[in-house]
Amino acid sequence: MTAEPKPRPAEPHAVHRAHAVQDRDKTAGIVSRGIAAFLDLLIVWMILGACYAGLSLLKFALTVSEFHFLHVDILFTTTGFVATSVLYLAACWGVSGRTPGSVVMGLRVVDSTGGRVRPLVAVLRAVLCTVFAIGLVWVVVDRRRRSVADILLRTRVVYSR
Amino acid sequence: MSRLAGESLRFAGVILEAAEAAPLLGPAIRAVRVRTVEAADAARLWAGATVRTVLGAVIREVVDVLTEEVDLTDLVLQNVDLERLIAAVLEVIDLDAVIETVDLDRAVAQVDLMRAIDLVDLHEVIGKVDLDEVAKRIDLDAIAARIAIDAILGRVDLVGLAEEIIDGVDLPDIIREASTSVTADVMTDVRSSSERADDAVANAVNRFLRRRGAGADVSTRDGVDG
Repeated sequence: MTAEPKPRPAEPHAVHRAHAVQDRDKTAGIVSRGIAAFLDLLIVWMILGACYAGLSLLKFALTVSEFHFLHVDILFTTTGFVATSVLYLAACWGVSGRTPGSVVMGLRVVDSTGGRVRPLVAVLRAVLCTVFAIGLVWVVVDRRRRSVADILLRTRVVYSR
Repeated sequence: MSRLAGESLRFAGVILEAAEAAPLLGPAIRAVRVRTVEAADAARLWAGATVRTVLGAVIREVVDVLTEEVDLTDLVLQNVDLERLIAAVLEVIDLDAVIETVDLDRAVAQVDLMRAIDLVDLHEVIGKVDLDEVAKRIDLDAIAARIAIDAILGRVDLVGLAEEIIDGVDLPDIIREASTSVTADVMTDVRSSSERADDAVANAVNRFLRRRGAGADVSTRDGVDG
């Protein structure tokens, strides 16, 4: 016996309440952005760990008899970390302007007009934020709460919830 | 007079016996006596039957006339002590024996019970019954102890029932709603706290750097500082 799908009442806003995100014009400060950045850092580490586990499993499947765990430094190197971070950040910002960390904290990266950042800008911003992460601290000092990357690429991080 | 007649008859009998005992004439006298007795018997029988027939006809006629002329019911009601009569009748009748002879099942089968029930105002009946009092007298524990729940449960398709119920309830939707609202609440808390912290840090820095009105630079447009 299968229950008939209930006809949903016609809602004026088709978007679910929890998903109805609206950008505000206020630029986010250091605490929100710091926490978001920390969450993103954790996620990058998790991606690296998952890749390591996946590779180990693959190796185990291929060479069961002479299996030993991979050396950790095959992935957890500066290069590996930077590459993963850049990929991850650029993809997130280019697609929606929001990394998972930003989603949690209710932030969004926008360009000077308030629209979504262009892919090239997203990649450049990802590289800057990864290589020169300390540039985020400038948010504290700057009057318009801009990080170094924001100043260079004319982007902003606004509250979006 | 009757004594005299009796004495005469007895005397006649003695004489007759003596005559019958006489030689020669005795058998002839006995034959005459026997024939006389037979004739008398036949005459008595005929007279009795005739009298009975005539009397029956007369009585029937009289009763017909009586019932036509007199209202017997009235007569009975006025003159008969019915209560005493019924009491006497009831004493005579063994009611238990009568009841035993009645086939109640057949009688009940012939009664249209639903029609009878329709005639009764059940609400009024229920109003007269003190149900609370009745309920107090019921020993529910004893009843519950007699119920074999296991046997009942054994007959119920619990798994099928549960599946039917679960089919009717949109569980995923409920879970989604609940978790969404909880998550949304937590997120809102975290976000507004961090926003307040942002503002606090900015204010502290502004005070430290002796800047004024720095908050206005945070938004590019005026008055949209929600």
